[in-house]
Amino acid sequence: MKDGQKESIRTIPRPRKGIYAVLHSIVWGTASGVIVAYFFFSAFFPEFSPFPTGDVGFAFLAVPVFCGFIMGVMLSEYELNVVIYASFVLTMISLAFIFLTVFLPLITGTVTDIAHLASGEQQRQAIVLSSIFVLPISVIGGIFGKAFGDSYLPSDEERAIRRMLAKDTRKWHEMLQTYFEEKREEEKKERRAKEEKAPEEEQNEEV
Amino acid sequence: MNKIHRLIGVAFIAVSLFCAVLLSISLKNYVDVTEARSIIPGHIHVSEIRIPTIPDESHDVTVQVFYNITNPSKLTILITSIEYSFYMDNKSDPRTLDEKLEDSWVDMGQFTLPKERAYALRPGESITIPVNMTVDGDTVFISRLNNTRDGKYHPVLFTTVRYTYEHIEITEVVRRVPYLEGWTKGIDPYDS
Repeated sequence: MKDGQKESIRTIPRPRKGIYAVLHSIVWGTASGVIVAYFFFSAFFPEFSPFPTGDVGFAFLAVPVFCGFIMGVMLSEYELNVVIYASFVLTMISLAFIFLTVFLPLITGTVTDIAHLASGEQQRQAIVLSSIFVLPISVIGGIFGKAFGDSYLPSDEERAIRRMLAKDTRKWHEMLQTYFEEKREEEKKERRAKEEKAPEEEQNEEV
Repeated sequence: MNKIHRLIGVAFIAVSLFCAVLLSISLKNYVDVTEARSIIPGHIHVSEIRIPTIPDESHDVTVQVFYNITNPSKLTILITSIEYSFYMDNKSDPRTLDEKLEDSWVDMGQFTLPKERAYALRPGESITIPVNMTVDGDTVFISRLNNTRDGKYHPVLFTTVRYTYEHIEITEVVRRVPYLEGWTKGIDPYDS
């Protein structure tokens, strides 16, 4: 079993695997963050969107869960903490995009008064407050995704480990079987030897 | 990573890029609308008011107000409605304008059009829109209108303009744009 694990880990050296984990969590976190930001913006400000995505509840609950899920599936070869860090990246990216989008006219100096923004004050408060909840919702999605990926879509490396584990287990079973069979044979031989010896001893006693 | 991972990853990145494009379009619309909202009110002006000489107050009188609207924004706007309250100052009344405004009200002029038939203004274009108002004869309002000093009328207008955008479903309302130039300088009666 240990041999199999060593062999598969040897394919990616430990420090490089850490760098891959960071890079992958940034890539998938950013991709998910962009999707979440668009759906949020489109739900809260449908009038500006070329394809309005409809309900606020859908953007608020379903999209972070879905993106977290896909992220979890994509990062299933890493430990769970990587998925959680990636969810954090997702939240940061989506928050950054949402803030940037809502306040861009002020940042670029297109307008100097916040009252001139095309978004209403209540809309702005709603989008900023609800975007904070992206983190817990995407973490839940990420955990489900990781569990799903582990169970049904293991990576090639994981599959190789499992195959080796299965091979090792089979080998162990075979070894145990032969060991027990040999032991049983020995016991039988001993019993037979005892049985053969027993009448001789009786005769000797009689003599 | 296996094949299914790669497939999901490529699809997810494609969706993400698509969303990024849509987000940038939404962002452009948002910035353009914000910009338009802040600069268009400063480009709504009354260019001319035509008030005829009123020799007989028993007849109806039509007043024409011409609005000059320029679209300095990056979006095509559709002017759907202009309405104004028309006041005529009585210069012999010593009270301030605010105090005598209620007693100076003459009438309202307006037009409203559906979006399909609204006045379209492309970026950088200007338009002059006449909005007529008819004051009924033999009323107190025509007496208020027929009020000149040194042969000049001194009207005051407060205008509300509604406009929308060609591809964005937002109706903007510019409320109570004051017109005081006629009040200070005076307008000669218009005789066609």
